[in-house]
Formats: sequence, C-alpha cells, structure tokens
Amino acid sequence: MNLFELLKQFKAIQPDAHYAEHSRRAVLASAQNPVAAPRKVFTIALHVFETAAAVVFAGFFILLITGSVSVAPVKFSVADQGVLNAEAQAVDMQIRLANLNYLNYPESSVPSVKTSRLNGGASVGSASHLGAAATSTPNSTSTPSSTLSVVDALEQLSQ
Amino acid sequence: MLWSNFPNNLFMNIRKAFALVMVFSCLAAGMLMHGVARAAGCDIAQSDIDAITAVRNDPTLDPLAAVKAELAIRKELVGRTIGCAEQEALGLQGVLAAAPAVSGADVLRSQLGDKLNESLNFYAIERGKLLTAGIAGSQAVAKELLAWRNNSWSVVAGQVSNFVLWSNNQSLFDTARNRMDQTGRTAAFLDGISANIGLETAVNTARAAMNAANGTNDAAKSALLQFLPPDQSLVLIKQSLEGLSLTYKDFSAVNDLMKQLLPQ
Repeated sequence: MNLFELLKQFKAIQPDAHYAEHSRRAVLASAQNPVAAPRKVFTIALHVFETAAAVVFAGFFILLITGSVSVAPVKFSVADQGVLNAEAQAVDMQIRLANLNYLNYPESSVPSVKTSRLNGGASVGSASHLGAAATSTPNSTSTPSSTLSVVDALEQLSQ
Repeated sequence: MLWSNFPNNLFMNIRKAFALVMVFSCLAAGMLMHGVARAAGCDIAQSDIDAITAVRNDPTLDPLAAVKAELAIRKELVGRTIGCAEQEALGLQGVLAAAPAVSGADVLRSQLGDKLNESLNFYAIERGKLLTAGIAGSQAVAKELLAWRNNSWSVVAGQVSNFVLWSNNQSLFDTARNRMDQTGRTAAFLDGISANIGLETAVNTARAAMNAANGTNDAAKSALLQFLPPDQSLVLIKQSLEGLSLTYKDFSAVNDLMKQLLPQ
C-alpha cells in the first residue's frame, strides 16, 4: 500500500456513531443561560477601563520618550555642610531677633534711655525701624538722643 | 608749564568737584530728611517741653498772655505727639502688610490690621478733643493717650510684632522640614544597606526634635490666633526657634554619619 492509498483511506474515517450521538446530546443538554445584564455591564466597564489605561500608558510613554516628562530617581545625597550651616545660622539669627522682641528694645538703638519705654512707650521713628527690621518691637526706637519718646512726651504733657 | 600738568590738574579738579557734589548732596539729603521729620512732626525734644515752663516763668508776659502761650504750646505738642503715634501705627500697618503670607493666617493678619485701624481712629478722636480743649483739657487728653498706650497699644503692637516674627519664621520651618525629609530618605536608604544602628538613632533623634519644634510652632500660632498676651506668644515663638536650632544640630550629626557611608 503506497502513501496515496493510505491518505485516501484517511478521508473515509468516521467517528463512532454511538460516540457522535453521545457528544451531540451532551452539547445540546449544556446550559444555554444568557449572560446576566450586570455582568455584561461589568465586562463593558472593564473593557473601557483597559482601553483607557492603555491610552494613558501610551501617552505617558510618548511624553517620556519626547522628554516632556522626566522620571528622576530619588536623590540620595548628603547635604552640603555649608548649606546646612547657613540654614542653621538663619535660625540662630531669627532667635536673636526674637530675643530683641523679648527685651522690647535692641540695646544698640536705645537712645537716652527712658525707663518708661519698657512699659509700652514708643518713640518717634519706631515705625520706620520696624519697617527696616520687619521683626523688631514696635516700641523700639532709633531716634537721636535729643528727642523724646511718645510716652515720655505724654507723661510730661499730662502734668 | 600749565599745559604740561593739564591731565593732572584736570583730574584733581574733577576730584574736587566730585567731592563738593558729594558734600552738598549729603547736606541736602540731611536737610531733606530733617525737613521730612519736621513735616511729620515727629521730633519732640525736651527743649520743646521746657518751653512750657519758660512761658510760665516769663516776666514779660501778663497772666492771660502766658496762659494763651502755654495753651498754644501744649496743643501743638500734644498734636505732634499724636502724629508720632499715628505714624507708628501706620508703620506697623506697612510691616504687617509686608509680612510673608502664611497659609491659614490671613484672618489673623486682617484682624490685627483692624486693631491698628482702631488705634488710628482713637488717635483721631483724641486729636478732635484738642480743638476745644483748654490747658486742663490738653492735659487730660495727654493722660488718656498715655493710659491707652500703656494698656491697649502695647498689647496690639506686641501682637503685630509677634505675628510678623512668626510669619518670618515659617520659611525656616519649611526649609527644615524639607531637610528632614531628604535626610530621612537618604538615611533610610543607607540604613538598608549598612544596618548602621547609630544612623537610625541619630535620625530618630532629629525627627523627634523636628516634631517638637513643629509642635511649639503650632502652639505659637494658636497663641497668636487667640490674641493671648504678647509675652506668652513670644515665649512660644522663641521656644520653637530654639527647638529648630537644636534640630539643625541633630541634622549635622546625621550628616556626619552619612558622610562615612556615602562616597564623596
């Protein structure tokens, strides 16, 4: 028997009649329930989400490739000691300013000292002093020694 | 001879002219500033007050003329003093407006501005009283101003001053928090590869100090928002800054440890 004859016999192969009948019945007897509506909605939503995610990822990678977005790695580095010192000095400077507020008056700018100034007495020019320092007390003063504070003047004028 | 020294002479003359211009400029600026001060009425000298006694003791003046002269001097001086106080309030308004914006503190800034406006209104009322006041009246106005300044103004001015100080501090706190984040990330990375127990301890110390400083800073903000006496809020502000200073010492310690682990 040559090969062609053998192949022709293959064409005549048929399934077992009993098995074919059994299989057909099994297929016909299987459940024919339609997919529930909520499940359909969920499936559709899932597809929409998948599509949207794909679009977003594609867009992100396009931006990444074109250089519009840079994904830099988290920087692990030791702070420059000079910068750290400068930041610390700025804090210390602010502490000094707070101390000036606490004492009410910077000693360097106290003119002919009037004790009443420590009790809420402001003097001429203190506003401009505040404007320059932006942090010192409103009661501080930078007036020449010949001038009186507001409180000093009021004390004398009330008598 | 003259022509031979021409370049030098010219140079000397230019220098002299420049020096003269500088001298006159300084004089003019000084006079201008003095004039501004005079115009603003904010240069009350002891001699101005002494003029009252001088008028009283002036034998050339009859009693009525002496009273009139004293009243005129008193009114002028009290008015000028009110002008000084007004300038002070206006200056504080400018300082308040120029303070850095801080999230959540705008209402407080506005409220403090209102308090300064109330001060200006008070001064305007007192100035109005001067118009019809006699000597006793001008003395009464001075007394009222004095009492008000000691009781009310000192509080308002202190609160504004502290608010400005606190507002200026916030950028320092922001910088320190960023420093803490960066230090913490780097230390966590290094701790993972080296298991350096000392580094972890140092970072925890720095973080605790940072948290404490943040807490005091928040407490200072609360004190300002509640208009607590300026002394109380100022103490908290000072403590928060001192806490921040300690935090930076801890940062330095962490930094030193990390330098040993990271390639330079």
